[in-house]
Amino acid sequence: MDEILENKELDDCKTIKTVLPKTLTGINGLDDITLGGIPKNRTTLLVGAIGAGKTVLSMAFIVNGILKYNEPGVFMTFEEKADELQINLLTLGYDLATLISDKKLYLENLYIGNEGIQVTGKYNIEGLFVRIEQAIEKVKAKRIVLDSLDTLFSGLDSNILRGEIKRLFTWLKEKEITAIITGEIGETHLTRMGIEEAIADCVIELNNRVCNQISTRRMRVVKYRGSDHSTNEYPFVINSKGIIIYPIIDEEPQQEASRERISTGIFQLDQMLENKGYYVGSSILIAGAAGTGKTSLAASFAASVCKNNKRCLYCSFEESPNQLIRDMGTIGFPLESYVNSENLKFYFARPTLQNFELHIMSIKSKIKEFKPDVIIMDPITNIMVESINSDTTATLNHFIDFVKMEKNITILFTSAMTTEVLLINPSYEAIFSMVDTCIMLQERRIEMIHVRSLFIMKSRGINNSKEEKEFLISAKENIVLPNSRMVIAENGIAQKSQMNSTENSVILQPNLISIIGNGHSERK
Amino acid sequence: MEIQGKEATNSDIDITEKYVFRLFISKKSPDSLYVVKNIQKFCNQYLHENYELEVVDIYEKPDLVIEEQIILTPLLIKKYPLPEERISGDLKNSQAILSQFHID
Repeated sequence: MDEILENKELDDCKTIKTVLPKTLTGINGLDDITLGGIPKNRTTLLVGAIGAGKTVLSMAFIVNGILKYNEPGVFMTFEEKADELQINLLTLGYDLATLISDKKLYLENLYIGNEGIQVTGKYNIEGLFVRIEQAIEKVKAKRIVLDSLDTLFSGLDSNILRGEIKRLFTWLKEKEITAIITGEIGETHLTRMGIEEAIADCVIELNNRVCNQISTRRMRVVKYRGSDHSTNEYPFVINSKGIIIYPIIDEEPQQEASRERISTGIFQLDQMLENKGYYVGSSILIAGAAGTGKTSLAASFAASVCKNNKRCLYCSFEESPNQLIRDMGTIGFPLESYVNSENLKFYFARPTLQNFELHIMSIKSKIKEFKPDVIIMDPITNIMVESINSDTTATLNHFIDFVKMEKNITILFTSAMTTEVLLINPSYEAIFSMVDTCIMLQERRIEMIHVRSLFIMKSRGINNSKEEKEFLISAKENIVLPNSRMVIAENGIAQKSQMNSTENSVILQPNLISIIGNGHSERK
Repeated sequence: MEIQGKEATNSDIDITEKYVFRLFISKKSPDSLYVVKNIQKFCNQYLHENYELEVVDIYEKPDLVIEEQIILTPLLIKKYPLPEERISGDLKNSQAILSQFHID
């Protein structure tokens, strides 16, 4: 770097401080956290416990270098056999064999005997230098990974070793190679050998914590000499598409605030929202206890969107798509036909399948594929299984921002929570506050009859109705049944004519009685 | 004990078996000559003439470095008698070599 700085100095004194050459890792998110990648021609230390993802992450650095930046790479492994490594990484979508035969990648297995290395007196690691030099020469490498140093040097005198590793780092720098060296996390030091403080220019720590039986990988940039970096811990995922760090920086939510409106799918609910419905690109929360009609309300929105030939991505974390199609069919929403016309796509995953971040990642990739106008997440609380805390709400907030950046997608969440829950767990407040429109559903039992009602808790930028309105979910025949056609009718009775005129949609009639009405006996 | 061991060894293997060593050094390292002297001294003292020693500079034969999986230098490999055994370092400590190579 010194050289570069000197050269720059001649060119432009003012920019010296800001010029720290970096190498892009090509790993989604990591380049954002590090504001442009890891230090170029320097060594970055990647530390973490067993199974934290060190090997995969460092291999991604090499493979991305070849595929994205035309920089050949060398991967020296001390732990896994080269052929086993190839098989393991193939399952993650890395075709190492092709890269090797194209002479873009050189994979070498450094084998140390079972007993390790017996040493008497002073030694050096020149042998390693010779091997690295040859390997670099073979593919004209610009990137190298040594995975992992601990395995190689376990049992060796750490005083000599520290000096030798320092020499290695300097030597790699002279060779103009950007390196990642992995190491296992130590108890007192960051690495077992305690090599990080003095030597590495950049240190990244990985960990893998299990909370409520669901494990989440996280990453943190511990140190980055000469550069700003984000000091937060970020969740990341390793899947068939490689590695993605989430959340991908704090996207400044500078999205366009659309003035366009979109129907809620329910005539009367639209009326409660200035006769126009939601804002396009806003976020909506439908909250209420179990059985209050959240899914029916969400489905009515989905159906309305599809009917207008827009696209809806329905993420279901409770009912399977087939079940939803059946149940919503009974109240007149032909979801199946929308699936066939490709207006509607389901994302269905068991909440416990993976952690919240991973769900969000999968949904994000679905969004990129399908490009929906509307996303429904039903119910969001199910996938926030680690319990709602600052972690998950932050992820959710980032997700909402992400969605809004994607060309004004409207997103609707349902959530199994009530106003009472707020008193128990104030973290829920965060969810209420991050959305633009919040509709609360309630169910009460009056004279042996369950009565559902809704009110708009808030709706940013909309002069919404402040009334609480009763509604029925009922079949055409206007029988009060769950999973049946939804009706809000004056005094609880839907008028036949209106029913017919608004075929296949939910009816929500205006001017409704408040909850303590007198028409209950008339309701059937 | 070591003297006894030495005598016993010599009488046993003297005619039939010869020790074969390969020593990897880096000529770039200023200590390398000193290491060669150490091992020669060791061999003369404990094995008399009954040994072969090949000294390899890793920068001259890089292919051999990969083949033999060399990482540390200096590295002494006992090729014969089997099993093959290795020891790294400046080789000043004769006891360590004797014990690592099971020479008694």
